[in-house]
This record gives sequence, C-alpha cells and structure tokens, in this order.
Amino acid sequence: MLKNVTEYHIPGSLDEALSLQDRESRSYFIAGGTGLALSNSNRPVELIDLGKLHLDELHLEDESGKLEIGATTKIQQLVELDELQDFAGGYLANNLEKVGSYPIRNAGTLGGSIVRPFPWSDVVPILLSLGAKIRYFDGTHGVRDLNNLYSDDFRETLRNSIVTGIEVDLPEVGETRGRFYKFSRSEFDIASLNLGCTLTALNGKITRARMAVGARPSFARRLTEVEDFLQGQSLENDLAEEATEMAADTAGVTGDRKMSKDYRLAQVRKMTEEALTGVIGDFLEQ
Amino acid sequence: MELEFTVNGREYVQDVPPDTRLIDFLREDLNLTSVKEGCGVGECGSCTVLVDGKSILSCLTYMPEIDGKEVLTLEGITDGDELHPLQQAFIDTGGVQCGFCTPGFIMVALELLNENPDPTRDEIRKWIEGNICRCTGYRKIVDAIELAARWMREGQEAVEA
Amino acid sequence: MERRRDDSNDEVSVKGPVGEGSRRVDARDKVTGDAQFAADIFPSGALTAVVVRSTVTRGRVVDDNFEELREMEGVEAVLTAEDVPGENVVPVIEDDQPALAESTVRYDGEPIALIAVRGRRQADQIGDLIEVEYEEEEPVLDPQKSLQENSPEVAQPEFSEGGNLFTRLEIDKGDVDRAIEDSPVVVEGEYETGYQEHAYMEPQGVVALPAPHGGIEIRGTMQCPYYVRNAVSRVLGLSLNRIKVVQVATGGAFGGKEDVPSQLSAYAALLSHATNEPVKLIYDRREDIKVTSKRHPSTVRYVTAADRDGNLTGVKVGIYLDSGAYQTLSPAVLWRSLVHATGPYNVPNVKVVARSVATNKVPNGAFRGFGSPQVIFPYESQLELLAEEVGIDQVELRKKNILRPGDVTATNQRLEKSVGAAQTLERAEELSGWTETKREYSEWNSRHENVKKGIGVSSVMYGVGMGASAPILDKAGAYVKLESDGSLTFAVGNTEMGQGAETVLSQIAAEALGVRLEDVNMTEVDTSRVPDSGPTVASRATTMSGNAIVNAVNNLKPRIERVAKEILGCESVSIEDGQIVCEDGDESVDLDEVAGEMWLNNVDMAAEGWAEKGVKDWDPETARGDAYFVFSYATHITKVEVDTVTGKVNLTQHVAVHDSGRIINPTTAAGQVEGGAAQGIGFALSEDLAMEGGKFLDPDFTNYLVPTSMDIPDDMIVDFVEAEYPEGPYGAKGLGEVPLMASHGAVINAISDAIRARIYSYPATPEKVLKAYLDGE
Repeated sequence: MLKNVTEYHIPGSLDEALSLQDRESRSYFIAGGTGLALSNSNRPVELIDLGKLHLDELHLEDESGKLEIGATTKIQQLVELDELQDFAGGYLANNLEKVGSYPIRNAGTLGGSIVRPFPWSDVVPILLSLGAKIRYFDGTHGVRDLNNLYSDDFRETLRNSIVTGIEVDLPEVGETRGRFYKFSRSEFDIASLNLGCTLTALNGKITRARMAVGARPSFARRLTEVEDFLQGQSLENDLAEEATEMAADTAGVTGDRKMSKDYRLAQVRKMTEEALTGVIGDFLEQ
Repeated sequence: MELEFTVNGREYVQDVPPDTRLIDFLREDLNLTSVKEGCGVGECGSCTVLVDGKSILSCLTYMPEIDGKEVLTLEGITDGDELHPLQQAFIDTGGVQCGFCTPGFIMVALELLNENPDPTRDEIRKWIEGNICRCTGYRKIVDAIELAARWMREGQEAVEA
Repeated sequence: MERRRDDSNDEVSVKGPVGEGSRRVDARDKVTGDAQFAADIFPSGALTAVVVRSTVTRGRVVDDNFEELREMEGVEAVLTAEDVPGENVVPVIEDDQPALAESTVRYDGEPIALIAVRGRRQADQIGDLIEVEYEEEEPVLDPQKSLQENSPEVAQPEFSEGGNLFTRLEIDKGDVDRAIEDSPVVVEGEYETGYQEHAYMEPQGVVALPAPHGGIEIRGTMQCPYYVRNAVSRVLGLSLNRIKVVQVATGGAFGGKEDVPSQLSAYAALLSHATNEPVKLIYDRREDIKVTSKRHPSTVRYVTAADRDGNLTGVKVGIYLDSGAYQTLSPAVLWRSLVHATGPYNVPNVKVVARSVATNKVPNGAFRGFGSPQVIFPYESQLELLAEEVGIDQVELRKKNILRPGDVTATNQRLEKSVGAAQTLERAEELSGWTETKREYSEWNSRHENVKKGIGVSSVMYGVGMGASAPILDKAGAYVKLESDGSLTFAVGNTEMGQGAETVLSQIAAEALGVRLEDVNMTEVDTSRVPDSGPTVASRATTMSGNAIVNAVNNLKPRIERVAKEILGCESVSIEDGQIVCEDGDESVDLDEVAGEMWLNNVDMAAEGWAEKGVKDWDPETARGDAYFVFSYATHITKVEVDTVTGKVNLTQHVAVHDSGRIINPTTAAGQVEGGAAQGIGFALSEDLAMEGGKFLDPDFTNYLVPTSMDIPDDMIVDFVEAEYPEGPYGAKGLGEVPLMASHGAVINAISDAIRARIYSYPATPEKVLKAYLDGE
C-alpha cells in the first residue's frame, strides 16, 4: 500500500515524463499499478502515470517477423490480440496466459513486468526466450538487448530512462516455434521454476535458438551455451539429451524453501527435454 | 487531484488524494461494501470490480488510474429489485456459503459471460482460478456460473420460485 | 461376513421444509452485497485500533516510546497491561494468556500495547513510529526439546503439569503390549503434520461501541458470542449484563473464530472503554495469518497390531501437539486427539498417551476436526501398511474392523443409536467403483511409467458436541415469538458463519411450528436474547440449537392450538403449511388469523426453549465411559494420477459419503461436504507455513497455498446414508467438521497406492512424493 504519495502527474509526452522524474528521486513511474501497489512502500512521493503516452501500440511486420509492442500494453491484451495468435506459433499469446490470474493480467503491463521484475516472473523468461530487446527513451530513443540489460545493473541503467516497449526480431527466413513451462505448487501459485525455449528452423536445420530459465529461484537468465550448441544442428530428437545436461549444468539453480537444488535440477532437465522434443516434433511433423 | 469517473452508472467529479486505493474509495466514500478486502495484495480476488468492462483488483488500483473510466461493482448489476441471473444462480445452486468471496466471484464471472456466453466447466474453472473461496470447494460456484450462462443464453429472466 | 443392521431407530415424521434443499435464507443479502460484515460497519467517528506486537520470539520489553506516542496528534489512547481495568487475561480454558503482555513476551506477535488512532490513514502510518526495545532470549521451538528437563520455562508453572508439559492425557484399555507381542502382524510409523491456517476469506474484525449504563456493545465476526462476552467482562471488570455481543455476517471461521475473537474484542473494548468512543479493529491478512491460532503441528507415533486375517488386536499411540505459548484450547483439542485415536474401528487393546507442549510460538487452537486430523492421517496410513502385510484389500480390511451397532469404542462406549459407519464405507465403495478401479489402475500401472494411478480410502468417526470434555457447554437456549401477523421470529445463541446454520435452524423452526420457511425469521445472534448457549463448534449447532427451537415451539404451540380450537370449535387440531386444521373434519383456519386473535386476547405469544445433552458414566481418571452423546461417520475415496517425473498429484475424482443422521438440507449439507473435503485436500497436498526462529516467514496467500478452482476435482460425488439419531432434531446429528477429517487420508492413501510408497508427513508436496516414489523403486 502506498502511504506517502502527494503528487500524481499525467505527462503528455515522453520528454515531460522524463523531466518530472529528474526533479525528485522519490518519484515513480506507474502504468498498470500492480507492481508498485505490491511494493508496500513508504518511499514513493510522486507518481508519474505513463498511461496517456500512447505506449500501447503494436506493430507486426509479417514479412520480416519483426514485432514491436508498447510498454503499457496489458498482459491480457497480448493474450488476446489477433496479431499475436500466429506469431512464433502463438508462443507469446499462449504462454502469457500462464501469468497470474485474469484480473492481474488485465492490470499488469508489459513494461511494468520488465522494469519491476520479480525473480519468479513468467513474463521475463518468455521474453528472454524470444531474444527480445527493449526500447527506451532517455532523451533520445534507443534499443537494448533484454538479456544484456539484465546482465548489468539494470535498475541503475533504467534510472533516467523510460522503457517504451519491446522488440522481437525473428529471423526473416524460417519458422519459429517454442515451448514454455511453469512449475508451481498449485495452479495459481507463482513459479518455483520456469523455462522457455524457441527454435527457428530452415530446411531441417536450427538457425536460431533462444532459451531462458527463471525462478532458479534467483532472477531469470538465458542459457547461451545451450543456444550455441543448438544453433546449426539438424532437427533430430536426440539433440534433446545432450542439451538437457548442458541446461542443467549452466542453469545455475539453487535450493530454497520451495524445492531443493536436486529437485529443481531434475525439473530443469525435464522441461528442457520436453521443450526441445516438443518443438523439434512440431517441425518434423510439418 | 480532480478526477472524473463513473461508478455504477453514476458520474462523479471529485477531488481525491492520489494515493487512495480504489477499494477504499468505493467502500468508505461511496459505501459500496460489496467490494471486500480479503488480502489487500492481489492474492484472493475478493475485491474484484469491472473497470471499462474488464475485471481488475481494486486493492491494487489507485484512484487516478480510473480517471475517465467506468467502474462497476456488485451493487450496480442489480436492476431495481430484480437480481442479475448470476446472482440468482449463486442462490439456486448453493454457490454462496459465507458470502465474503461471492461479490468477487460474481464480478469476474460477469466478465467471463460477457466475453464467452457458453463456457465449458473447465473454462470456468480456469477463469476463476485467481479468486479464492474457502467454503464451497468451488463446485457449486462453477455450477452457478454454468447455470447463469444458460439462462442468459436462453434470454430467460431468472425467476424466483 | 455377518451383516448387522442399524435398526435401533424409529422413523421421525417430517411434513414441512426439513429434508428439502431449500435456498439459503442468507443468500440474497450475500449476492447483492447487502450482508454487513464487521469491516463494513462504519460507526460515526470511530477510532481505529492498532495492536502493538512483540517483534521477538522470546524476551522482555525493556524500553518503549509509548509516552511519546500518547502525545502525538491523532493518538487518542495508548494502553498497556497496567491500564487494564479488570483482569489482564483472555480467558479460554485456562487463564494463562494475558490480554497484553506484562514485559515477558512468549511469541512473535504477542500483543504488548493497544493504540486508538483517529483516522485510518494515520493508523496506517503509526506502525512505522512505534519503538520497542527488547532483551531477547533463546526461544524454545521444538516440542520434544521443550519437554527436556533443562529447557527454559515457557509454560507458567501454575498452568502446567510440570515443566513445559501443558497437558498429558491417557487411554489404557486391555493389555496393548501383550497384544502387540502376541500378534502376527505389527506395523509402525511416525507421522508429522505442520501448521494449517484457516484462511477464512474474511479476516478477523470487531467494533466496540459505548453502550447505555456504562456498558459496551461488541459487533463482530465470531463463532462464540458468549466466549467474547466473558472475555470482555473479565478485562473491563464489568458484569455480564452490561455487555452485549452481536455476531454480524461472518465470512468463514472453521474454528479460527472460536477463541480468537475474544482477543480482538478485549482489545477493542479496552480502547473503547478508555476513550468512550467507538473503536474498530480489523486485522489485515498478514497480521491475521501471523498472530491468530492454527491447527496444532503434530508428531504422532503408531504401532498397530492385527491377526493374520487383518482383525485389529491392539493400537499403541504417542501424540505430541505443539501448543505454542499459551493453552487456549489445547486441552480440549488434545482430548479429541486422544478419544479419536483409534478411529471408527474395533480395537480391543488400546494405549494412547497424548501430550500438549508449550513452545515460544503463536498459540494454536481450534480448526475443523479439532485434533482429530493429526491422528486420522496416521491411523488410516497404518491400515494401509497393515493391508499390505496381511495381503488384503484396503476396503475389505476396513469392513472387518469398522464399528457397528453394539460395538464399543476405545473408551468402552457402547454404540447403540445411529451408527452408519459401515454403510458409508459400503456406499463409497459402490459409488467409486472401487473393485473395478483397482483392477483398471493396476493394469495401467503395469504398462505406464510416467503417470501412475492410485485410489485411496479413509473412514472416520466424529464425536458430536463437547462430550465429556466440557459437558457444561452442551446446552442451548432458544426464544420464539409468534407475531400478530402469523410470522415467527426466533432467536438462538449459535452462529451462522457460512455453514448454513441459519437456514437449517429456520427449516427446523418452520417444521416444528408447521409453517413455510419464508414465514420464519432468525434474528441476528445477540447475547442479550437467549441464555448462554455454548460455543458454535464441535458440529453441534444443528443438534443443540435445533433441539432448543423444537422445545420452544412445543412450549408455544398449545396456546396457538387452544385459540384455534376455540375459533374452529373442534377437539383436536394440527398445524401444517401455515394452516390449523381440525383433525376430525375439514375445518381450517390460517395461522395469521389465529395469531391476530391471540394478540387481541392478550395471549402470551412468546416461548423459550432449552436443550442440553449430557454424557453418562464418564470417568476422567481412566478415560472410560461415554465420551460423546453421538458420533457422525464418513468414508471418502479419492482417485489420483501422479506424474513420476515431477511428483505432481492430480485428483481425478473424490467420493464422499456421510452419516450425519437425517439431513435437514441436502444442498447446504453437500456444500459443507465439498468445502470441507477441499480443505482436507489442501491440508494433504499444499498447505504449509514456513517458520524460522519462531517467526512465520511469509504469512500471505502467495506462500500459503489454499486450493483454487483448478486444484479441486470437478468430479466430486457426495452422498448421505442417513442413520437417524432419534434424540436430534428430526433425526439429525452433526456434519460440519467431518468432511475435512475424511478427505485428506483418502488423498494420501491414493498417492501411496499410485507410487507404492508411503508418505509420512504433510503436505505431500511434489518433491516429497517424487522422493518417496524414487526411494521405493
């Protein structure tokens, strides 16, 4: 619950939004509000509402496979948008449905999920496993790889900028398919582990692989060794076995109250194997 | 700050402190106490209301976010003395026990039936998974939503026997 | 096998709404939002109460800033133990729990002061301004260690049986050691259960209002208004007649609102009394989970012996319940563990030793089942081990041993009336297709590795009412008043908390008078209306208040009949469907007309009713005799699929068959069964509160997993075998707690059946299930 907010700004432009933030370090951006409301913080004194900046637009270039989504788009909109039902085989639309509950997805935004990410976030590994980039504004517009951003001190990096959206550049040729798995103790529970993987294939070969694991229980990360291993390989089922061990070795999972390290590792193996055999199976069926 | 919004069809232009949660405004300023606080942090669904037709959790929503929008609470779905089919169905199937979670369930179900007039039982179960009920075991709630969907499809008024 | 029929009962005649699945009388208010819960009450000018709580698990308060707080704007009162005008106690069974700690704190979250603040926003902020300094001591957290001689003192000596042992109870029947030695089949196991949180959807809350003549009125969410009245009387030092307690719409309780509302009411009353203003106290969810009572964690050891055919010969049990820092309801909870330790089975030789132990943790209390789930999990698990050893089907084993009319319980109570245990078992077997399912699953499991299927059964018995544990509380009053328009007002002292009591009692009132359900109206429960009617616990409201209502109506009826006979001019009349009919002719008159006539002629139109239920021949020294006036029974059967890579359990079907005597309302009864079964499923599979150093780590619903719509099987079959209880209203017994008791054992047994390995602690998380499966391979 916020207790000390005295000012609420609704800027009409990105420049204005940024200038409002510059004045006072106890000002916070707000879009869907769910993340901030959950923070139970006394700290925010000023809120800067990004809701009127029209950051909820979507562009999809069918030809090139390039997708741009505005930061204030609600998660549930992404689940329902017609344009996304076939994008990467429906990877985004189908898997974002695993986030929270219906009312949470109606309020939570894509941008909020990126700038105020929880270690157990499902949105983050889904985006990482698409190789997503963020678009931001810090006086000028820029683009940055999401994985790269999270590898740095992203809070510091984002301090004087506004995340305006994401971009996903799928390879122009080839098909992209993916699988995302969420392990939770009950259906509505937050993830105790999650893992996503997309493969792009052309003429029986994997041209691009992206894989990410979250709720390790620490923050999500890409599994680049596995990706490097997969890229260039032919689509064959026995790929999964080798990749599975590699995923377990590099996922960096640990134990916590919810599950032991060994158990989490076993689930990383299972998810990796199911993801790869599933996606490869999709391609081989075609 | 001055906000303009609609609650249950009535327009308000009102000065509201910006850190006022929607749930507190509805309960304390408008006495719409069907909106229940079960957890205050978005984990139970008891405070669900519709904003522009979409279910949201009023405990996680601050008043400025509803500027220019329409809010609907359980009090707003009754037509005079006439109950909404969902309300009647919850009575008829035994979908109500202690009643504390009931307003949230009815509101989230209302959105479901607006979007999908003929949901399967599994679609209903999935849709309501963010709303916790500790009394019923959910089955009679699913029955109620299924029954209301049928009544609404058939265009029948729920008639008190 | 010889079949014995329960033929001890006479049919009880029913003409009116009893037995009908009537709509709940409180449902309309609840679907419109009109029902007023505690938090929905906004008394004009009410102060907000804030409870200052210990932030250490064990220690002493050495300094605080309460003097500064008192001077702050908006702060109307800051009260500590020395400001309590009456006795500083929250009375439950023993008087060991202070309303406000007097410097020594015994658990994290123990109240040390109360603050009344003007304005809710200010109240939200005051928490950040409170400063209390403690001298911390090493807490006592493990019950077994707590009993060791060198353990620091947690229990106050005047309230313990020595050291940190709160209570020790024992049953010793026959010669169990000899039976174990002589029996060819003996199985043993140690079982553990953790905290179960009630997670009623409505958090605890009360308002306290200054009342005339220096009195005080409490309105709040609660099960037991008379407990609350007693607590407020003690802390304020006011006589009982100055205190009025009104129960408002209550959003679930499950035992969690048995004794805890006495605490909140005492706090609010103290502040209201000190300021002479209305005071509102509502817990938020974290506070509610953190500081209110829960199901006692347990460690229970069983040795079960049988002959080669599977007939039980002896059961030896050791029970440890972790009580937390104060006794509250622990002695009664422990007693129920003791008496229910052999379940609904014939056991000739029994030894049970049960201990409740003090630790530096939140005091535990009542939770649906009240100490019985902690022994049901073990005794039902032991039967599975036994079936395996003997080589007999699990249902067959239970049929051999289940209590039938004429049998005796562990306390040598002879069961005569209303004993439907065997019928629940047989009916559940039939509804689940037990034999075919077993065959089908065994074939499936021989051919599949990734998913294993299992089916499990659990039978339970439950003593209705307080029984020999607290016979002084098995009483209830009722008040009925025929209005001049023929409608009936009635009042009782037992509460509606979601279970449907208001509807069931209205049906009983309507049936007793011979009117339609809509002609009767139950008033809100208010301690000033009827005599102390005991608590609304122990599945006793239907029998106790039901009998009191029938008694009250029977006291009123002769006056109605007398006036009706004068109007009709006939010798004998009966009332049915709102009409008084001559029994020897066609003449009839509407009740409203008779009521009008009574009013005109100054006939007394009100009557009181009373019900009490003693138990006979109970000897507390030997724990022999009648423990309860009657028992309810149930058998549940669950079907599961277990993923052998993740250990995840998927429930595919749950069958629940109950004997609660005659069912007054099949719809609300089925609702009780489905909801209770769901709580038991949560207990077995997911509900767990992590604790470190005596502090709950994450008291919220993100970490405490209450089952959702996706976790409870949609395929749930509920049925009743109605072994009528002639001494209950229209043949009814109790139901409320039994469904939770029966479901978890069936779930855990189904998992074991699927993975061919047992699980010895709750909850059966996927990781635990997987480990058991892999270890058993």
